[in-house]
Amino acid sequence: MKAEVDQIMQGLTKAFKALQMYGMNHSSFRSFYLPFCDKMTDFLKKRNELNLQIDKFKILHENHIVYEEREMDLSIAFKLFKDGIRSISFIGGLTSDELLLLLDVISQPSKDYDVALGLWECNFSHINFYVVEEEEVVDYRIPDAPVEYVDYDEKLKQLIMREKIDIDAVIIPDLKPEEVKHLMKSITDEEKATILPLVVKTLTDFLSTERSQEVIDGLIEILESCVNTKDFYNARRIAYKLRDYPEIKFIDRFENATTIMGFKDTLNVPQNELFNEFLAFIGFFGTKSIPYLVHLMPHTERADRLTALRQRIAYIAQDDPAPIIDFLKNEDTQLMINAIAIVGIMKASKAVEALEALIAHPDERVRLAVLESLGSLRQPDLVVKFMTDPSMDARIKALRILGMLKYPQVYPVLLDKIKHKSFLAFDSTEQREYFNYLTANADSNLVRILQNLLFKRKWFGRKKYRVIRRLAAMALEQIGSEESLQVLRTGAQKRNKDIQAACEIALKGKST
Amino acid sequence: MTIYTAGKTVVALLYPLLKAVQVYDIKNDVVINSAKKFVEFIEDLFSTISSLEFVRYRDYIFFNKQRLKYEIDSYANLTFLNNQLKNLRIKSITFLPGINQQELIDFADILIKDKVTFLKHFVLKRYPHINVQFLKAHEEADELAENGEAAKKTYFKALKVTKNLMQNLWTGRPVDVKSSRRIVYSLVDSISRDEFGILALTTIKNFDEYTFNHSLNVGILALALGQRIGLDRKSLARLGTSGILHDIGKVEIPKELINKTQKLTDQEWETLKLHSNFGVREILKTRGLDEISMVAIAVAYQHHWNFDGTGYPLREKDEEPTLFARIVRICDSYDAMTTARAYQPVPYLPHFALRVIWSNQNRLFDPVLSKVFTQLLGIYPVGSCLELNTGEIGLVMRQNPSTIDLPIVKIIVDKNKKKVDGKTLDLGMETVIKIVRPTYPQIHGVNPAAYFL
Repeated sequence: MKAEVDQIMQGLTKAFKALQMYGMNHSSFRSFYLPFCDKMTDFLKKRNELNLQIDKFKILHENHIVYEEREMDLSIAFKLFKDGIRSISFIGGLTSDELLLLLDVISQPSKDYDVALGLWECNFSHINFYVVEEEEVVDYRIPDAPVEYVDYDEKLKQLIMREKIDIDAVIIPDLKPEEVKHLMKSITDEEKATILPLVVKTLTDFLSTERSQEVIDGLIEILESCVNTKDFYNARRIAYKLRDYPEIKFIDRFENATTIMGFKDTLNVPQNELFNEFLAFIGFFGTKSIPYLVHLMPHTERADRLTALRQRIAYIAQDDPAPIIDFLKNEDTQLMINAIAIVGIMKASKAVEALEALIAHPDERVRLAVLESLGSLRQPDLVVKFMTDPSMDARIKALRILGMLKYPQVYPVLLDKIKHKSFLAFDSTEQREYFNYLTANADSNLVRILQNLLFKRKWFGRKKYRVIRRLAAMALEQIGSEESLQVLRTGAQKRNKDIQAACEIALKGKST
Repeated sequence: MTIYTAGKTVVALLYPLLKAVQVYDIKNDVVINSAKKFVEFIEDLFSTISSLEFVRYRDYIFFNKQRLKYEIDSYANLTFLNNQLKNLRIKSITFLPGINQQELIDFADILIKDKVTFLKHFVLKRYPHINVQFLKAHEEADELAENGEAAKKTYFKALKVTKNLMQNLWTGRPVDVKSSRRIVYSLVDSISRDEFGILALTTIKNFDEYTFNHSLNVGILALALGQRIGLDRKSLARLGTSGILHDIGKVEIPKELINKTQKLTDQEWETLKLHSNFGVREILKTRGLDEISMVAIAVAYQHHWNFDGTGYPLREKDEEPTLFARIVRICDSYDAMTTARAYQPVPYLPHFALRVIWSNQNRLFDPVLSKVFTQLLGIYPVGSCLELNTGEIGLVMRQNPSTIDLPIVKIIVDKNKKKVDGKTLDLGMETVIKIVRPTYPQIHGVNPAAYFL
């Protein structure tokens, strides 16, 4: 048997060295580990148990030295001995995973690492070990009980009366099957449950009753851990509580490029809940974080999340839009567009001048963003400038915004445009938008103007003009007054097929 | 079916058979039916497994090399089997294919006997399909000495660590966290090796330094209860730490208030109640925020939360204490009741403390855990002094796993009221000797703790 144990110990030594040199995932380690594992399991199959005694630099089996290494850093015996392990037993049924764990624990390089604690925490089923504490001399004295005369029988009677103890009650503590089931579920729940929310709740409850630096420090430590692990739910709860202590700058530590850019992955996680928790958490951030947050934004893939993020940054910057306005001059178009959108959401009037400077920006996306923000800022005088924008999208958007802003000053200009023959060359979408604007800003003359457009005699270009008639008819239908509907009814009786068709379609739309 | 489940089932079928032969004649139908069920089940198993081997190793039972865990639904079966094997000095039993009902019943019949009877019958009769291996003399001696001595060492070392921890906190000195972590694992080891050995030491009470012994005792009781419900070692370590640290907030309460013998004023009572809150801070101070201390923080905060939603500190309606806090709630109350303190110079007898817990289940205590706690300690917990119908006084040394109201006692006072080093009786096996009532050890001038050292 000694030869077998010697072989096992040689195998252990080689595997241990290989683990220290190469790490667990390296093929060299596996080439040493697997034969060792086989030898050990073969031995246990035959003998069921292998007991080893641990000495300072030696390992013994049945009083024979089977391992010796005097170099502290290399000695398995010393690593075990220094933390109080005096014997270790391997039992039949030992698994490869258990052996790997054992090797992992004893190969921990840190001098402060407690191998005994490490082994305990492994919760082995087939490895037992005996640990002694450093100090073997213990005081076994039993404390003296107070000596005084007491009528114990009388005291017992009082106790039974006070507690209303039924001394004859039969106690049968057998558990019913459903109680066993319930208990097992409680255990599983307890083992599965993460303790963090509970601790956060406990610590924040504590702070509700008393300010304690230890508890605050503890919460900040958990907060850091939550941020690192992207647990924004708990991070938010902690931040909410710590906000009650304005003197504690707990959020400063996260307002840097490394931390904020580390949130990149969170922007595109599949779970909306996690993203929303993230948004809620960054709501605690201050102005200092804005440049980093703006740089983070282009990593957002989903449009709805980008909008949500813009809104959140607008909320953060609400007291001081300057850092956002700075980005309106940024060379990176994407950053600039986001900043433009944010100043719009913020309704930051200080940004108008910078936005005006971008009206003629060569990038259409920038101009569209500027237009949107100017709309939010209720700047129709500037919006109207987009009526001549080279981009049809911009012109249409401008018309819509002007319609919403109720900006009548542009009304005659648009009317002239509609009347002008060049209008016929416009895209139908844009043409429709002109009429929509007119309808949205309707005055008492509009019905007459539309009637004229609808009934206008055309000798040439009848086909092209058909569109104008239809748009005019639809605009009349949208106005929906008795007067406008009467115009349509009249038109429906006209002999001109184009007028008749346009009016009938519009009236049909009305009836449906 | 996995080996583990098979092993658990075999033990579950063996247990009723052993209980049946204990009560009935071996020709009784109950015995025959139990044996029949057992044989039918293992015959099926033999189609995939060549033999069924039970090995007892340091109070663990291994079935075909798989350790069977002490879980709530298997605790009684495994404990009974473990105790029987331990009493008979058996290391392993192997059942082989071909075993029949009669051979099994005959074997079960001797397995419940004492060591001498078992050996006599085992040698006389042939059991062709059952192999038994006995412990070697040195293994047995090592185990007994190791368990008893180790339990004592662990207890007193743990007491020292607890005392140092609290005293250092009181005086603002640094705390030795490593020692406190290690000692909890030693306690876990100790409780899994010999539950009653270490439980008996919780009878050590300290009037002058109540908090230290109380904290440790709660830790040990909680570990024992945790083990009974089948928590794994990692969870036990968390629970033990939580038990030991549950009252750590008391270091922030003025000592004169803790030691006050008169009734507390309302204001003083409110101050004392703050120890649950302070516990949170003290644990943070000592241990920082590792996984174990996070659990302990919750327990320290919640250990006065009652099952019915009352208690302190105030909580929201839907908040429930954690399983560990519910365990510590019971153990804390039990140890507090059974310990003499400044404002309670005469403690509750363990038997009555247990009845208080029993009658307050659903109100103060978790009812299921209260039941398991009663199973654990028995109707007369370890350290109880019992007046017997012989006029003698018996000290409860251990529980009888099968009869919780008839423990194993040691006669410590004879019928002439003289202290004696008497014999140990298993009241479960006695037909004449009966319990009259539990009694205060002080009346007889004895300290139960002394008998466990």
